[in-house]
Amino acid sequence: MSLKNKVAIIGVGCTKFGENFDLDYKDMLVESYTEALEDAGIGPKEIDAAWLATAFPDMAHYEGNSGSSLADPLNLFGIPTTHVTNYCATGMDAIRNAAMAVASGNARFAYIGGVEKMRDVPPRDSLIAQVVKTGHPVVGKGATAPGMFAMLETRYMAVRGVDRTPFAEISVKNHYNGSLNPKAHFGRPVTIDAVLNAPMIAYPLGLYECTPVSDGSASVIITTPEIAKSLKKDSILIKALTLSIDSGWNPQFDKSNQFLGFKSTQNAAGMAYKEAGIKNPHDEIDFAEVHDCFTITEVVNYEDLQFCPRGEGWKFIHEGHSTREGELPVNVSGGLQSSGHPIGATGVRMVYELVTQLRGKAGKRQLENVRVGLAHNLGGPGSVASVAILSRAD
Amino acid sequence: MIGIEKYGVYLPVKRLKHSDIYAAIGLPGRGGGERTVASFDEDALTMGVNGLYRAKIQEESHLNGLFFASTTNPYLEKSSAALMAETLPFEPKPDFTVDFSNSLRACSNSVLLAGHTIARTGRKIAIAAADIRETNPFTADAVGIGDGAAAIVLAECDQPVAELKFETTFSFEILDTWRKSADQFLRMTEPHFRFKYGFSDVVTKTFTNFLKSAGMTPDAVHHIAINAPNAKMLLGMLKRVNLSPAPNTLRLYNEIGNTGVSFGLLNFLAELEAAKIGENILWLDYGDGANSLLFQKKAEIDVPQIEKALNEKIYLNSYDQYLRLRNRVKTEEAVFEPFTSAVMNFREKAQNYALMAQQCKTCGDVIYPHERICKKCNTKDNFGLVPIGTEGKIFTFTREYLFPSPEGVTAAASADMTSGVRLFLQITDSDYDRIAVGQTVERTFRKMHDAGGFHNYYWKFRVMG
Repeated sequence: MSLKNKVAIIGVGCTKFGENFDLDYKDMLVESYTEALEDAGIGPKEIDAAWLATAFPDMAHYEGNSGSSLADPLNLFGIPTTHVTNYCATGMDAIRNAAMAVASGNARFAYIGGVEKMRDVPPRDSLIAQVVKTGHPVVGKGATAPGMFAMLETRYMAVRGVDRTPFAEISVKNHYNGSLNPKAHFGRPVTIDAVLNAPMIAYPLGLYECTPVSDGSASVIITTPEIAKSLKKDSILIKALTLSIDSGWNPQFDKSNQFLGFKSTQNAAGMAYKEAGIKNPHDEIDFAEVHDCFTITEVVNYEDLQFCPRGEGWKFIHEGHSTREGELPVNVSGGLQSSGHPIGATGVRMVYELVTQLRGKAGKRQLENVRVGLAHNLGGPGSVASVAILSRAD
Repeated sequence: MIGIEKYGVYLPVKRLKHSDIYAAIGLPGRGGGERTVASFDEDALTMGVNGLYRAKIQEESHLNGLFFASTTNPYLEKSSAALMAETLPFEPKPDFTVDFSNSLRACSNSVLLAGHTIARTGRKIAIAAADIRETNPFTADAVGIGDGAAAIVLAECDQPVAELKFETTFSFEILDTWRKSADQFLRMTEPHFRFKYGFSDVVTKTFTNFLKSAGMTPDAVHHIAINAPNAKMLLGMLKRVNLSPAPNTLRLYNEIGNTGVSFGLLNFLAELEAAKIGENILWLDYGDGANSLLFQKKAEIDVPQIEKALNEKIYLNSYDQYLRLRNRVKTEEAVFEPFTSAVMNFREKAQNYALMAQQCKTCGDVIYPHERICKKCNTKDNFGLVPIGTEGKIFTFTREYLFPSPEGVTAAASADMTSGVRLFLQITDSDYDRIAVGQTVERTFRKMHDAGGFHNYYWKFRVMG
């Protein structure tokens, strides 16, 4: 079943991403939820199904283990509520599942809350501790998120004959963009020298080429286009919302993996373009939020999403095509590089950004004349990817 | 005849200069030698396995026995040899697995008993010897001591490298070097006493008894290999019979150090490599008495191993680094204990210890890690196990600085193995800053961590020199 034109986004909300030391998991969810509810102009009793997006439930607090982690703080009881986790693509997959419920007539108003609390501990105790403490006892041990994406950059540099410069340029672009976004984790730009000379995290990725470890929550409320119209809301239509899975814990064991892109992104993008009827992504998409957990990821995303020919992702940034002023601005929010990456919230935040831009309400970072936006959420180094295409309803 | 079919030498590549040890304890300007240092991911068992692989044990199709000699077994209760047998890439595994321990002549004890077993049954037995020797920090005890392993395959065969001709054994109790069951570090008694009434006396008596029992004159012995406490003692013993050690034998003393139970075998292999065909090599192995084993060289050695192992080295930059690799630095840093499971360990032996790949019997595709359904043709449960191969080429790599490691960096690579499998492993004991796409890597057996109260063994890559 195609989702095209069957679902409208009527409410979005987002907390500031970052070191939210004064807010807990529930506090953040309440903040983004109430903002979205107010934006949608509906009451809590009208929500008849909900999805909670948290990638890594906190086993210590039992936060994010089930739909009840959403119901408790929001006082949303008695409705079907599902917890979704699908690596870093958790957020958009939750929206995708909710969209299917609305499109099928199963729910009139569906709420999606994405939330992740990662900074109650130091950054290294969050994601690095996770790969040390969990996973297979020995097979694949030593694989961390930065390390696995770094292996793409190593290969990309060897095959494409480029140095670290284009990747540093991604960081510079996104950190500048993020400096215009009051909800971004980082509020300041970085220079190319600072990026190239930053401490090494996982060669060839330096500190400013890695997303920070962040807290945050984002929320979305969806309904049918007909109901949205009757509510006279400035709604945004889902033109496509897809998901594709590739090998999960062992792409580094896959002999067909060229380490130059992600099959999951290529598949999800192919399905989304087909669903939305897009023939030429470069020309038909006005702007995009793509998953730039690491700088190399954004470069290969350009190629996987067909924004440029295969092998030319580095040129696409180097020649400035993806800057705010370029013909296809990418990550005007600051992306994960600057906005931060509270995992379950990230995909929801991308949709928040698209909706905000398409409504012309993005303040200092508002792009001119945008009608069609793309969001791309990637997880697990490349094992799961989701692509959303949204457009104005009018 | 019974003889050594093949052998392997494994010396850790890390080296610590004796001058760095002396400088750390406040005696600068001393010491021109160096020693091997087993890295943080090594123990006697892993070195023993790597010794067996250097002996190309993986090319065997069947072994009757696997003997392991060590005074530093990673388990006090649980066989090392039985675990080591699981790393062999063929079935069935050897039935007769025995650990020889406690005495510094445990290795020659195991060779001697393997010889008897083979004489009676005509069987083939692999023998590995290894020790990781711990000494009190900030003492000179670490000088002249080293870590290392060697392995041989002893069999009834027509064309051995060396034939086992004769043996004697002699037991003698003395407090020379020892560790009580709970001791971590080597203890040694007064050196002049132990040399005079221990080593010197015992080896001399053993040699005399050997000549008498064998009915040989000293000039029929062309080489003598002895696990002497130091090079000076070795030269002194050999001078009495007008022999001199092979150059590589001396290098073992000056560049490696006394490697415990494996040291006698390493001495023997250095002399064997230097010997001419037809020459006799007498291996005198000292420790709570002594064994004498007479071998005659029967065939040229295609690829000598001692020199290569001596020359493969990466220097530690300081004594501090040595302490850190050996977990001797007290820290109160939070430790992330990995998840592990003794049950998974049992279930995945072929995948994790022998590193066997699966080959689909329907389409021939080779995959790793193990699956039920073929990734290429979708056939269910129709796999055979095949060796993954010992070498590969780096497809891509990273150097990770956040993953906890005593070396600060955790390098890892995906490499294409000769079997066709793309294998992802950590990289150890390499010049991490010079890792490059396309380099050849070998795999090396390592301890990944000690979670769960047991040793979690697996494989890593090492960039080949």
